[in-house]
Amino acid sequence: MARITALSPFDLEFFGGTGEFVVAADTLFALVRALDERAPGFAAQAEPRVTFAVGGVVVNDWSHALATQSEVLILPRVGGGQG
Amino acid sequence: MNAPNDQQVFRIVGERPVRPDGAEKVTGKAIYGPDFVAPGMIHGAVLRSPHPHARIRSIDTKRAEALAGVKAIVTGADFPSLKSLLMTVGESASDQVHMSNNCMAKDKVLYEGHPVVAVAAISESIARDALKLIAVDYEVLPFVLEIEEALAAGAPLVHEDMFTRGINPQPAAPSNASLRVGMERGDVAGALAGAAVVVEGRYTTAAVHQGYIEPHACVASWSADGQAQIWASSQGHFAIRSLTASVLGLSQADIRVIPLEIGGGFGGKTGIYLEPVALLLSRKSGRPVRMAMSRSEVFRASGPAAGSITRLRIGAAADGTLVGADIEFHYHAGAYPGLTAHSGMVSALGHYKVANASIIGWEVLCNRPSTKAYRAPGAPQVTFAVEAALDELAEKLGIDPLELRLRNAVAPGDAQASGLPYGEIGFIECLEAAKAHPHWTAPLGAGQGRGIAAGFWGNYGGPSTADVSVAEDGSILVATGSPDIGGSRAAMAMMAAETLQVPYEQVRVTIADTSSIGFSMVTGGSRTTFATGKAVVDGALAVIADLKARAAKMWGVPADQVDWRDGAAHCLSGDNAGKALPIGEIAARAAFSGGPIAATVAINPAGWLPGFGVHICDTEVDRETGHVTVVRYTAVQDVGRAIHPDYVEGQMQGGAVQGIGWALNEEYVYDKHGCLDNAGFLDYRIPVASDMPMIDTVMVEKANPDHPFGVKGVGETPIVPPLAAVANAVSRSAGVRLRDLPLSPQRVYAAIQGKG
Repeated sequence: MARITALSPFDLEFFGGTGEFVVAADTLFALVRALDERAPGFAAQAEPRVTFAVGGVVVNDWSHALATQSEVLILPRVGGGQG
Repeated sequence: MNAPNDQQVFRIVGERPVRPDGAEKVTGKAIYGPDFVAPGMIHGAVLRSPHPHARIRSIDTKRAEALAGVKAIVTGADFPSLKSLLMTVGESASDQVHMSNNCMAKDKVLYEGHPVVAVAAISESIARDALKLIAVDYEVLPFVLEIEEALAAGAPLVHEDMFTRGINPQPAAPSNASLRVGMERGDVAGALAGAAVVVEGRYTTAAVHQGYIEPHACVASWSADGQAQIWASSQGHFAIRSLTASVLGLSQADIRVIPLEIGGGFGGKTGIYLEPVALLLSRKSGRPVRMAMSRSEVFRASGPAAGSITRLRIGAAADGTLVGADIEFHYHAGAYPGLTAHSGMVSALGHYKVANASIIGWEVLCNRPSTKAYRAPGAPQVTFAVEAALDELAEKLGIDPLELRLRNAVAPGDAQASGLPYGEIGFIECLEAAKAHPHWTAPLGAGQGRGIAAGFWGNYGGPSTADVSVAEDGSILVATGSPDIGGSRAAMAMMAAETLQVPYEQVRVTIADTSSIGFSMVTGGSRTTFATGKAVVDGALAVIADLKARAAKMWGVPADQVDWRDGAAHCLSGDNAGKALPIGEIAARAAFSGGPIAATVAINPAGWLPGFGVHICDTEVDRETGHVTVVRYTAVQDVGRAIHPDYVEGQMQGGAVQGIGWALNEEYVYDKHGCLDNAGFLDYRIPVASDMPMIDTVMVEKANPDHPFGVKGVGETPIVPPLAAVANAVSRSAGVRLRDLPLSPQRVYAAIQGKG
């Protein structure tokens, strides 16, 4: 079971204020599906709004394998505007 | 200035070669958005709402349609009905319904300047005459412009169906607060109660525009077969393609967007305004349609940065250690939800170690144009409050304000706001560089004050595609999908040349259109030199591997017996040991050794690192008028590796000047009817060269280990510290603490008088 921490606003917006929980998932794709079952609508929001970090490192490839004790952070993606 | 661990040696990186786009630009040949001409092109114009909030009862276009020369008219009814769907826009996201409605109002107008009808005619003057013949019947509604009035009980609702996100349970009633974000760690109340000194304050900043010189403009042409072309300047032609396709319900493959030169964006050109409208006008008229905003339209209808209100309490121990902070900020979102509150939340204290902190951020809808990104979106506003409060803390504690920051600064391994550890950041090195700079200890003149402030921006990676190919004569062609706003063509050429070990002039870079190369995210988030640059380097490495393989075939040796240096393959063994094949000789025989030599690389790299900055500002205040003069300014920044230092210094100087304008002069001023009163550069005063001293720059090069050359993003960080650096300096010059921006002469004068 991967250990999930959802940061604001996702903790309150999707997970009833529970920011930390465990989910059975072997990849981030599977995690998104599992979280969408827990909080319908999450998957549609995840692609444009979410960044994942696994074990303290940002991971862009959602096929990234999750180990039993993986710590996954759900972060909002941050916008920018150089130039 | 190199950090001590910086051991890489380069041939080209770090040099200052002539920019590849310079001659075209200085001779006026470069084609920007409003310059492009298509055969048979006609001209579009937009009728915009005169009301900040109104319901559209009816639109009568009959008289306009009858005007000679008018070829097409488009209203909201011509846009397809869409379901709510969040679309990626830059690194943030917007609902496609909101984007569509912002391009053309459907049932309600939400701000003065909101598009209501568009006309295309054989000349711009006829199109504008036609607008005068259109009758729109409005039911005028009460409006809200300011944050606190928008949150007041009974305030008019900008959207009747907007419920605050980020609250559990979801509120039962709609609200103008579109989003709440929050984070808390430690015992804030206890820490503040035990602090030796606590500073408490309310800080405000005004909504400001990016002030890019080139207005939004495009030419759109719809073909009879349903395919379309758009020529536009933007920060991301792939974004224009995807958002336009989404709003109009088209296949992305049917829209080809050709990028033109861009005259500034700063985050404001990451979305769509005119493109879908021009495309619909083109479909109706059968002609290419040009649309270009006037300066007034840019101010009234494109996206400014959020205005803000921040309330905070920050406490420190007697030795200056920050012990607790309680921060709540509210940002304007404008007419549609934005997504800058989160970046405000992580930026507020992300550069300091504060064990006990509560940070809550809100986004508030109001009847103003929808906000857009502006260099480090969401960071300057709250950082202004925090850095001004630190200045007050230093004063109360009797500690040098730079030392206070050094005492609390984050270092590699310290936790970010998210809890993730920082990588190889260089904040402490920046503070040390500022401390060592002669500016910090230079004597001040009479009536002058000195301010210092710090700040950071997280930067980004994101998807990028690059093509690297070798022409038959051995010259190198690089194509990317990243618009060149801040000198990326030069940086890409330098990184390719450095990798291939060929002269810079041997590499030429093109920004390819959406049908000619794979996807790249917008040029924004300070990501392009990092992410697209990484793709270019990977592409060059793939080309080198191919070149070595070709040379090995020619020499009849294994590929691992070929070395690549000085732009040539070198044979390491066999009969040809010691011989070299320059890239041109290999390329000339490419057809006989496997075909053309080219590589395409598509990546979505992580490993970006934040950039930190420290700015020092000296100001002088005319006590009789309140006018502020910036007399000296120094910007210090951890830039990772400066590929082309001229461009990096330019980004630092440009960001600093924009921040100085934000601090001193710039603001959206509305009249009592909710209409913008200063929609032009005469009344909305951005700094000009004669206002500014030389902006001195210090590049601290602490390399990013996750980039082949150590690149960190540099474009956004420099706008974060100036607001507080200026305000802290002016507060000292004036002898009174100033917490509201802009520090216009009347505000500074009033503060001086109030003190006196």
